[in-house]
Amino acid sequence: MKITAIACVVFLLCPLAAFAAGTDTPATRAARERMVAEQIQARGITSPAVLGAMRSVPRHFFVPEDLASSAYADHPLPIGEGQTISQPYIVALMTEVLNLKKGDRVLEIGTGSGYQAAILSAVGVDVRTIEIKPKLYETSYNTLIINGYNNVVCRLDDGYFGWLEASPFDAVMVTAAVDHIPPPLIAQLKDGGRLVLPLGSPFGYQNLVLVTKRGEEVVLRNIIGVLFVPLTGRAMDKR
Amino acid sequence: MLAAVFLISVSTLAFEVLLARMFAFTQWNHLSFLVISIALFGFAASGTLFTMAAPAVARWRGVHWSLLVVLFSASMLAAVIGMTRIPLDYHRLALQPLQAVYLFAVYLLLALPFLFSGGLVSAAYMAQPQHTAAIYFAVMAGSALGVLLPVPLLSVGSEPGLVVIAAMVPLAAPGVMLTDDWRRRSRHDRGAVLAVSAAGLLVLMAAAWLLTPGAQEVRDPKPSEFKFLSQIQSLPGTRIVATTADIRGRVDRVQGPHLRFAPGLSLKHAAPLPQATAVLTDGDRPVFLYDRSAAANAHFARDTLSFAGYELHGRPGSVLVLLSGGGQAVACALASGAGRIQIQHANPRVADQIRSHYGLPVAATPARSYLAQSAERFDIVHVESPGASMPGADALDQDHLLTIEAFGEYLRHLSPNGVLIVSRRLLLPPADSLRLWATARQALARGGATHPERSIIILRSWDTYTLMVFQEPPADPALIQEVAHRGNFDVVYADGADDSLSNRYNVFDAPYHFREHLQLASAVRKAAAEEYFRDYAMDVAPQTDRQPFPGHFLKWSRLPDLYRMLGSRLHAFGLSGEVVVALALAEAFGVSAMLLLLPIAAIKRRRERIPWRVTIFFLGIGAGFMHAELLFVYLGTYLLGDPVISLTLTLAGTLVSSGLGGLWSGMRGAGCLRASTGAAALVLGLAAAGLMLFSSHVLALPAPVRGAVLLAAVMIPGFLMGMPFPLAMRHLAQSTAVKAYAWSANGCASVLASILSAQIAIAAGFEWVLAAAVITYGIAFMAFLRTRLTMGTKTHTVMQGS
Repeated sequence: MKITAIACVVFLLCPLAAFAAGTDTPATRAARERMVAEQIQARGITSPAVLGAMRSVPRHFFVPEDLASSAYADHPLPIGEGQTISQPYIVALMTEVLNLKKGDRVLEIGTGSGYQAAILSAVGVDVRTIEIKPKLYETSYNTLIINGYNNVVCRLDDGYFGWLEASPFDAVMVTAAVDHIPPPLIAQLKDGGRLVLPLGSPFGYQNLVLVTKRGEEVVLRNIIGVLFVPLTGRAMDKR
Repeated sequence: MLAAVFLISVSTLAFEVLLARMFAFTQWNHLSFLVISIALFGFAASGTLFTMAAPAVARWRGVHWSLLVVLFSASMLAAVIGMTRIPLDYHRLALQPLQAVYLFAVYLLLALPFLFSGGLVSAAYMAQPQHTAAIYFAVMAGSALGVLLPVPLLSVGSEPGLVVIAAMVPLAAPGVMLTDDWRRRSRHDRGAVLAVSAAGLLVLMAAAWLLTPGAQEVRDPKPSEFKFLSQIQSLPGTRIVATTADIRGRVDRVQGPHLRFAPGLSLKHAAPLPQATAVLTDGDRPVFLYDRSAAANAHFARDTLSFAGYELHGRPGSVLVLLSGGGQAVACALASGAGRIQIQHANPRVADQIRSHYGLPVAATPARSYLAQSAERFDIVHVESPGASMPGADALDQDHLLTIEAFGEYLRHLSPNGVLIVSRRLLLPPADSLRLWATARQALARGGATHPERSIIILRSWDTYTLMVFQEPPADPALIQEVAHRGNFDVVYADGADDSLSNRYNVFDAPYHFREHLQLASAVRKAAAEEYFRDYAMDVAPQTDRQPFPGHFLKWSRLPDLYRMLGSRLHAFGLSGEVVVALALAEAFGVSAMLLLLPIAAIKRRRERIPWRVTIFFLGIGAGFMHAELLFVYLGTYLLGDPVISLTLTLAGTLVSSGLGGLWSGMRGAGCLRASTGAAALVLGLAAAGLMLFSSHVLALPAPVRGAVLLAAVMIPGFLMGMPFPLAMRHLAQSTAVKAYAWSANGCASVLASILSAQIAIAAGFEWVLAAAVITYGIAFMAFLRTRLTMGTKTHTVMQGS
């Protein structure tokens, strides 16, 4: 009876064990494949580099252990300090809209879990990432180093002022919530450089803003395809 | 027994008020609404349990009642510790199944004090029917005291500390009851008394320990990691430099090198921003105070979208800033060089900080009262009310700053060429800006403008919009283009503007906001505004002072569309206030059904029955009482400008007057039951309708007079509303089981009505909450319309089913 009970518990915990931090098993690889197919490709992400990166980076390494079994689900997850790891689709879309080429230099503001930096690294760009919160910096730095993302350079600092010594950047990604775009970040963009940032609550709906610098002109585009289906089409037909 | 009932009532209501305060600081409105409303079912659950065990409960004496008090105190301490230890996280609810267990544990933990408190009161009604009126008075008077006590105490003690003290208060009663019981019992029968005494002593010791500084970790819950205070505290070098607290909330002044605030800042702005200090209320709702050490520090404000109104005016000489959050409006006013700047903030403690920081006059009164009392006119009236980041997130917030009447007041305070500026967060799908455009237009039309839409301009950046309303239509359309071009802003609405100006700098796939405003303006011109509001996927009709929920956008009939717009993700609805209310209502119906149906079988086994008329009566008066109470809280919030002050005054007024009514009913016979129920409905209708009718005039009176008017309106019907319950307990519910069941029905109806009132107020307005109160009292009245109520023991026989 006792053995049966233990066997049941082990059996029930097996799927969770498959998602334990630090191990990439066939089950987690399969979960990633499903995530890419059902959440990312199905929503229109086509860049082979981005899809490849999303397939290769074990997302469950970057989430708190108690949420590891939800790592590949279609929603954001809290990672502590009031921060979140974005929904997989948002990560993919933010990476795709930057239209990156191998060797580009990218600055990420708000390392958070380190997952986005790992994806950028897997895309083949030179990544600089800044985190202001010491606890998050320490955790993400360790995760990135342990898992071999060596082309990511991390810094504990206030990202508001960018990274002047490493500038100019081909792209800047702001993953923290902001009420205005910090002027130094635009100044540190190359001509033709792009900056992307998410708007709205990560737990509600999110919108992306893509800023492109062309000489003295700064053009801002809202990418509303993130989650919002505008009031056109069927919703408007009812009017 | 009466003393025990009184003390436990003091403690219970103090617990409820303090619990709401603790949630306000540590959690979110939505979670507070969800948890507290369900926890109150503890009252009803005690009635359900006692109905099933009525014969045993009827034999209870001092030791049992004392045990209930000890359990009550112990459960309050457990609730405080549970609030700290249970890692319930509202944002994880939809993501982590374990959170459902935490939520259930919190429900249970917080319901227990109400269960034991309700149990003692219910047991009192069952054991001492001859003292029904006195028990009712003790409950109401104790509850009123419990509501009032936290008001002075919160300035000197923390919420968890006061809950611990409140838990100790009723422990005085078992001392008396147990001594009495001890004398009555034989020597071998005193074990139970000793055991309960020991338990009481242990609880007292635990409470004393919880008050020591060493227990702070266990006692004081921390704010959610998603609260603004938690977030900025994790930034290096950021610290709280001052904290004050009162019944309105905890106010923290936070300083740090990383605090910057500039919504709507132009992308062309290149200079660094001034540092800021944040003043937070309950860990959120920041007001930023910019560093003014260098005179030029406010000049960044010239590059913000809100400043467009100042530019279009020219050179304003006087500015009125109505601040409910943010603080950028003050920087705009300073940057404009206006000679007179008057600021208003409703919270006196926040107002003090703004005044001492900037050295400017700050009125610490609610905005609407300030406007009603002042005749001064300004070149600019700037309303800074940022709004939520998602449609519906602030749907439960009663806000009289964005109603048609409020806009009328703003226009009345503008000089002939003045401009009203309202800065808000830009939402997609367009909702908030459409509502405010229609609100402004209607206010202008009421003021006599012949072409009101010509006096409105809306510009947007990528995340904010600014509505500008002119006393006279702006003469120079080229200036609008110039201002928009200089700041990289787009036009959302300007009379005659074409769509080439609408999507130039902050580009959407299509100019959604511009098109939608154009459609609304076109509908208005064709006198088809009603059709537009009916057909739009969200509720964007203007709000009035009778239905002041400008954050409410949900149309239940269009829920599938909204679901699709939010990316077909269920958890996104967790941030919508209306959905949370609906969820709470569904839960409440489920729990009510369980609590009311569960004892039926037990009663049948004892060959008793609960007359359906009695159930209907107690459901009716329970719901009517709660609808009335919440209606007055809403009306009081309008008059006093603060929901907490309104809640405190309304509850205290209702409870005291009802207690007196109940006491007086003790001298009346059964014949008074129907008359008092009908009179309660009638007088309630008249008092509330009168208050609604004259409230805009009352607004101009000084605060103590406004409070007195509210109290009078509450207490006159309150006296009558206090009579039906004790009369019915005496004359309708004569068996112990029926008394307990009546208590349960009354409790269930109260909780259901409190949630339903919120839903009705948001969806239909205050008139309908009043209608619900009158109708439910009417239903109670009708339940015994054709029954003679002069019976005494005869009713008892009927109810026993034999």
